Amino acid sequence: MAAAQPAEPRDLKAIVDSGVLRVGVTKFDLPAFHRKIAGSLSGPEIDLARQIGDALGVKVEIVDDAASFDAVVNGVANGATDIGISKLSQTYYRLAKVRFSDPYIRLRHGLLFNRATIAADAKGQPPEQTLRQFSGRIGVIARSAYVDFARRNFPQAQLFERANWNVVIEGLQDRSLDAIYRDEFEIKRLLKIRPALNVPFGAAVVTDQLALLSVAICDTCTKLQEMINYHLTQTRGAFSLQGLLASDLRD
Amino acid sequence: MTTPAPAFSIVALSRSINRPTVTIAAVAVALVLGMLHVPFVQYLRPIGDFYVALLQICVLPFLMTTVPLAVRSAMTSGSAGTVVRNLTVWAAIVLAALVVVAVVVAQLTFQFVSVDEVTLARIGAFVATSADRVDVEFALDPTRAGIAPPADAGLLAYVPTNIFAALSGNDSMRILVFMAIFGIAMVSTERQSGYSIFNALRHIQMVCILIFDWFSYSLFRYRNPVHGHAAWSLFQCR
Repeated sequence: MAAAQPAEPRDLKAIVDSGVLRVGVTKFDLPAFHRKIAGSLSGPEIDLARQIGDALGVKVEIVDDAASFDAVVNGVANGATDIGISKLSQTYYRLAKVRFSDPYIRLRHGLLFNRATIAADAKGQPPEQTLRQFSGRIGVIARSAYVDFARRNFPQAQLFERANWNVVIEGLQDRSLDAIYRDEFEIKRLLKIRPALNVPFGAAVVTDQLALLSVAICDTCTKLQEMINYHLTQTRGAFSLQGLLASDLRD
Repeated sequence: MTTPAPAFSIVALSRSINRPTVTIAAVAVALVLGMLHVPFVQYLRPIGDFYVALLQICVLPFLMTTVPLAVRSAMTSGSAGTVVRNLTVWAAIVLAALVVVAVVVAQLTFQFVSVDEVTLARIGAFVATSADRVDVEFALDPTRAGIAPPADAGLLAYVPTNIFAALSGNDSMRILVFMAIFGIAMVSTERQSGYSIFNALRHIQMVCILIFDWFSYSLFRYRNPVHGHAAWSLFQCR
């Protein structure tokens, strides 16, 4: 594992010539996707990176110094890494900087909301309409795709960006937030590992909003993108929501 | 001199094990096994599912024949108004009683029993497991293709706009409402024209009851040993 140094973005040939594929990941664990155990990174995203390296016939160097999801994208954009794999969702903002592979998993958006607050706002009606036009305080992880998603999908809500997911959850628990917003997997994972939250908080899934988790690739690296897409086609089904929820979900 | 052992009889065996006491004891044992989370219980599930599926075969035809027959029975005996009034009063009483019980139990539970984090986690796990899904699924744009429109709310949820859709969807409430309206209309037209298919409906109802009987010797059978079908006979129209 190494630190990222800005450099010229490299496409397929330059990577093969150098014999090394530099893969950017977050420095914090993403349970069920990748985590560090005894100094060694493992998980399906790390497996995916190694499979891509094997397909190219090069070594894989994991660069795990990104403090945020956007930092992984920035690392790819400025050439510090060749690809980024860290549960990265495609967003308009990110697509202006890098290109993305086809999604390796599609996750619906999810909300965890304060039951009492939403019930009061709904005034006896089903909560769907209240959630659809949510105007309360919504929490997301700072410098994550959900900042963009929240601005676009819940324009009437007051958006609060918190340093990490645990701080976002604390905001919901101390009633400084009315709802928290992330993908369906993270909402279900949270309720699985902390079932007591089911009592005061309700879970919602936004059926027409998808997080397309993809590999970030440099903006000009068309051949690398083509190769990764081909690999994902060959390994279709490697990621699934049920499979992820069945793995070790602890922080 | 020894008495020969009686011949084995399925019917006799069935009657001996289908007594109310045996049924209640079986329910009690099932509750205990369920609470103990005994692993082998899961292997009984397919048998239970199969049995319930057999019983469900005739539910809709039974419902569709019984409701018009009951409506006719009430209208011809002149007791329709009384039946409706009694139903309304009892529905209100039961609803009020349920609300009171829920409020009292909740108050007692949370006033006298301290709910610690472990208990809360257990309740939460139970809620999550029993639901096994999220509380709400919604689309930001409900008109988008592939997204189901929101379910009808209030009284609209019981209006049978498409009886065939209700039948194929096992929507019992809409079927009940439709058959009640249909039954009233059938009685009215019978009075005007003399035409009637109530005898045919009664025959279909008897067929359903016979099929139920094939699959189940219920508790009700023993409430009326003379007639044999006490529960079903409530709906019989003479």
